[in-house]
Amino acid sequence: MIQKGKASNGVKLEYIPTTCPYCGTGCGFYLKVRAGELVGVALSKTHPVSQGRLCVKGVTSWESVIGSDRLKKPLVKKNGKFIETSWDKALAMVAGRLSELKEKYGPDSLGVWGSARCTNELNFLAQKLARAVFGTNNVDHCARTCHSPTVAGLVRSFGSGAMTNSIDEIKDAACIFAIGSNTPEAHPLIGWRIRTAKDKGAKLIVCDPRKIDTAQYADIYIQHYPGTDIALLNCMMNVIISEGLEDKEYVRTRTEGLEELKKVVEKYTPEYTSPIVGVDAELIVKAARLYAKTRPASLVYTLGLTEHTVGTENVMSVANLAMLTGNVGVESGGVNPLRGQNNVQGACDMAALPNFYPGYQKVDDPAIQEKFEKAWGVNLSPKPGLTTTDQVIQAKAGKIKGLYIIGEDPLTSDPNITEVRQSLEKLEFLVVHEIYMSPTAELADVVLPGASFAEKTGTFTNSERRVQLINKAIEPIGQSRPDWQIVCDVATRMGYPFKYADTAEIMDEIAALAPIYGGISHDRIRKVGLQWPCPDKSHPGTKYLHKGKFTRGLGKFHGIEHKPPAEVPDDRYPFILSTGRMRFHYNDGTMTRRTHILDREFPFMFVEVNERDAERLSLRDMNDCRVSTRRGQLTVKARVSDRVKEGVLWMPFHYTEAPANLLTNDAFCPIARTGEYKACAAKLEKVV
Amino acid sequence: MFNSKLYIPRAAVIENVEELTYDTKLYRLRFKNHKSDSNENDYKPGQFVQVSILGAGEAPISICSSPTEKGYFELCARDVGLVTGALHKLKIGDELGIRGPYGNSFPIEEFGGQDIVFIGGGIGLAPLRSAINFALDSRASYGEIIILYGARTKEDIVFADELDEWNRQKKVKVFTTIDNPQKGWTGHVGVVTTLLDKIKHKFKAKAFVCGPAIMIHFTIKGLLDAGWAEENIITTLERHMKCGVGKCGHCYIGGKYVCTDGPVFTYAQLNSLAIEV
Amino acid sequence: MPVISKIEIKNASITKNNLFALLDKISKEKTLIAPVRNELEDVDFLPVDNAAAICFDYDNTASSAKEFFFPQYECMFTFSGASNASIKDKNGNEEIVLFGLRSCDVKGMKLLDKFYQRTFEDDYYLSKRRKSVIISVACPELNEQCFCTATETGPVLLEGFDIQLISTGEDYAVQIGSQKGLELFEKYKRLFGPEVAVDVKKLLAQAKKKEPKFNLQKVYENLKEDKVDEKFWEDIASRCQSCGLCLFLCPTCSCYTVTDKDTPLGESRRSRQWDACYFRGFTRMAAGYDPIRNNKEMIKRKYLHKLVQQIDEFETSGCVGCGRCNLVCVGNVNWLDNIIKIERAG
Repeated sequence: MIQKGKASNGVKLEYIPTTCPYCGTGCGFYLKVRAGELVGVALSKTHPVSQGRLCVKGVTSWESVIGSDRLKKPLVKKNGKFIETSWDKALAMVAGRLSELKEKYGPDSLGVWGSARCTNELNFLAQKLARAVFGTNNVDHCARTCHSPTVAGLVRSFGSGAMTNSIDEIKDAACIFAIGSNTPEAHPLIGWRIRTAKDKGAKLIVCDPRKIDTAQYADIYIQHYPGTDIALLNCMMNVIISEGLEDKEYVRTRTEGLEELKKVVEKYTPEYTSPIVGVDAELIVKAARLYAKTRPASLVYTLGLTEHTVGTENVMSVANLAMLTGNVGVESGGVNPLRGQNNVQGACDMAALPNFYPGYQKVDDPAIQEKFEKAWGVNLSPKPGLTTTDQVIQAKAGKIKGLYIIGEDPLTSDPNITEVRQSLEKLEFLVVHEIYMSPTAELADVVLPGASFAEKTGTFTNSERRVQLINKAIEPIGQSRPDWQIVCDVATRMGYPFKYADTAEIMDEIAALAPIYGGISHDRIRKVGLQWPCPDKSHPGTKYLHKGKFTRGLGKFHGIEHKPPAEVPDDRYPFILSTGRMRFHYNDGTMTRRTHILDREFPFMFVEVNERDAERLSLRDMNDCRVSTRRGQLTVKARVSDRVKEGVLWMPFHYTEAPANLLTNDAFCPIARTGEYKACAAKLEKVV
Repeated sequence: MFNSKLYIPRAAVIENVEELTYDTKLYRLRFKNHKSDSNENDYKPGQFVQVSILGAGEAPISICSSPTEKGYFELCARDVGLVTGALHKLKIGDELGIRGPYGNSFPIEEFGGQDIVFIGGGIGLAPLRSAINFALDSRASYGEIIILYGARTKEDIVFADELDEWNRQKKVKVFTTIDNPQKGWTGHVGVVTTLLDKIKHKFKAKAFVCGPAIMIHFTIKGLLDAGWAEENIITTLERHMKCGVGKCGHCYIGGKYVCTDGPVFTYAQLNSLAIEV
Repeated sequence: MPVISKIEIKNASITKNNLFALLDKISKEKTLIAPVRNELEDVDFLPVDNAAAICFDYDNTASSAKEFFFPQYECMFTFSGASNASIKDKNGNEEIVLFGLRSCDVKGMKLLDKFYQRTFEDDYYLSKRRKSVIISVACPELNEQCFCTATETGPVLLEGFDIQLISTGEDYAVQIGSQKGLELFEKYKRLFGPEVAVDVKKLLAQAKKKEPKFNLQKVYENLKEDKVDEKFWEDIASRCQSCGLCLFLCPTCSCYTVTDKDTPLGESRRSRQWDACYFRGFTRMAAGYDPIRNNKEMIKRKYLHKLVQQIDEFETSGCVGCGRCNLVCVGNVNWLDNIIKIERAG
């Protein structure tokens, strides 16, 4: 399978097929390898997701993991400084300290953070480590920072928390409704499908506080205030119901709870809603009519909806809208959350989650508990565990004593990082797997060097539930090791041997335990992957969900009232500050800041300011300015344009030297525990 | 060429460093060894070198000394980026790499007997200095020499001493200006285009213009308004460059590579190439 | 020293089986690069160590063959600390035979040959290229995306090749057009057959009658005289998302950037890697000034470069009509469609 061209001298070029390590689109391409080194990326024309295209991050991904400061040896902290040590010593320390803490404070004093950047196999073992070895359900991962409201919300509405349709179906939709998604920048190959649909004559409605690329060519662009999505969606449903545009047959036969919905949306008339969202009433009416009348309509959303204190409710609102118009369970329709990370879908599927076993089987279901106890030969805890959000809070409260964090940097990506730092500093033991030193790893007692996506074989699951292979292209750098092997060693040293010859064997165990992965094996997914649910070895995978009936039977409407963000503008802090992502950088910038072409495009932190706001403050483009919230302040360059709505500021969070999360609010969605990255109150001052 | 292989720099040693302003330094360089037959003054005014600092990268810097000065050449650099930042950390005796000299040159030799006007803005005076000193070293060859120089503030003025010294030369007139009034400055105030009045009558002279892009734009406009012919206005373009030898493509514009077909162009040439200044 | 030293065209022939045997021999005695179809049905140029690995049934490869002379990433030299004396030039000295390039790609390679000899000789490209021999295969006909008859870069070449194969059914007519081609031919003479005459001019005329998708002269004029509406450029600028792929894929694109970086294992390197003019950072200077003022100018520059300025300088089209860039854009910018729109402008 792996294309080795053995040449008699010099030119040993190889193409290793793999899946992109960046976003949840899951593009396939080839890593070019020459003399054991990564030397480029080549396109795959036949790959079902990338189809001969890529974005700039994918095509430069070869450079992102070969920075000179890759962690090459285990590090142990002595007297406040890191010293290099052997794997044997480091692992002995990790197993030893964790066992001590477990003995002294009990299993629930520990927590494991799986990684949405690492493989399914790793995440399966991470949760098995927490559950079977530590004895706790305190296992979670960074879906908490983004799409856990999706899981929570869609499980309530549909019975299943995943993207309902496939990525390629989007290009054939007659109407696309994109809310809270900067698709061309955060998911370029999905943004391509939106562009293609529009070029084919589809209608496009974009709702976003920023005038993003898709807003520029949309048929209807709604620039609403951050945190007013429920009001907007309720208003659209109000219009649809009052004009009789709902799909009456579909609602009658496939859903429940319409009356509850009607009662709530009744008051959200266009006139009532317009001042709340800051949008012309007439425009909302137009959007509602267009969406309802143009079928099939594909609804696309990402963190603009989920990263709010009402994240779960936002998700249920779009579910309401889609069900009302009969757009779920149809080809090229659906509710399509675009998962952010390369394997956040997989990490959820593998249950690096406090309340599920792999395959979304509930932790507090005695029958499920018994099934896993039998499979793993140990007693398991029936108590759902703590989310990462709450592990951090409980660390500060002294309840969580030890954390095992794999491939995540909460000191850059969690809201209100001042609080996070205080929490992590209180831990008795912190061990971190990383490929590069990060602010979180700096605080650790032990840092274990992990192998990157190019240095190991395993699987990622993309946003459309497609399980795909990554293939090892080069040897792990220095003494770094695939994370799954590290976890096996820790478990074994703590008394529970994890023995797997390779990741294919781990996937076999996953298939045996998680029905939605029942038919998944490395051999079966070699060419184009397989989309779950895939219950058995002859099943071809599932293109779209909820055909005929919802996972929970009937789709459920929920009546949801608009609730403003936890922190709204006032006299002292008159702006809404929102944060997000750019095309050229990725999350905490670990990989993209080390890639020449990417960092060259946007090498420094900035804040987007509306032209009229800038004029009032005598602020010009590229002037220095200070953005402050109740939690902190940053001095950055101002980028002045009409991109953001007046009264709104926007910052990327990719720059660890000027972390936006110094400013954001640690207010969380009570159900999904996701932070309100998209709205807090800020003030802006010119710096002279 | 100073260096024998196209992309391999030749070692040079810093003989002297002079702080011209708070962010600009003047470096005097000589080669580490002299086995080559191409040595320190084997260049023409207007040419540049690729300055290589191993670990940081390369940057194109115009040579600001005249080839009539033997045994060394000089570079003037402002601390604005990765390479110039690394350069500013180097001291006397430190080594760096040089590739070049690249580019075409100021057509100064062919203007014997003519009046020359040099108009510089900010650090743009540095490349002009090479031509000015070349002309002064062959003083008899030229007519009147007028130098107009503008800096943002008095702290930004480079080569202050030399400006005075040039002014003391026979048939040389130097006018210096700063953008806004400042305490301790009794000289001319206003952007450098406000000095064009001084040379309006000289529209048959050759004019060499160098400085920030916006300064070049307005200066050339002023010269054209005053009756200058397009082929008598000569400027040097600055571009992001990686190779300096017309291969990496970064400086490509209008079908030309600024590093090999320029950086010196007449305004007539720029016009015909539809390159806007 | 020119890369292809021309000779008077010599004709021969080769049967399908003998071609297989020839390539098999070359693959074992030298380094052979040929099209390979992998398990995922992608076809691209890769080194092969036997002829069975070669794919003979393809329109064109996904990438051009420039990777072997101008790779996506190449270490130029290593160094240690600040000392220039420590510099170790890492220029490769592989001798390779490439099989399976189409006429358009050969033309593209020739353009790169001229470019890398322009004013200064780029030793990294030329030292590898001068040691290479290309056995190209003329296309029987054009496909939907390619347009060599419009750019006069195929489907068969009159000159400028080492060895050109032209299908005669199952077998091939062979043309040898250079000293290097002749040397390769002489070495494996037994496998070649007697001269089969091919009227290349007639083949070209026939192809041109069927296929030209636009008139290059009209396109050249409309671009040079700026007859194209601003809205056209604005549309492309609004779609381009700076992924760089249309340029990375292009057989005639030659731009690169240079980085000084240490490898993870501590080796200090100055390397070059593919760069593209469709990034704003490509022209932006250290202090922030960008002579390219907006994305429209950025977009326009490529069209002017390939369809006007390179024609002016090298007397051959800067675009060789391979069609690879038509279907690579996430903004649905189709180069061929756009050229046709430019032809119709004014």
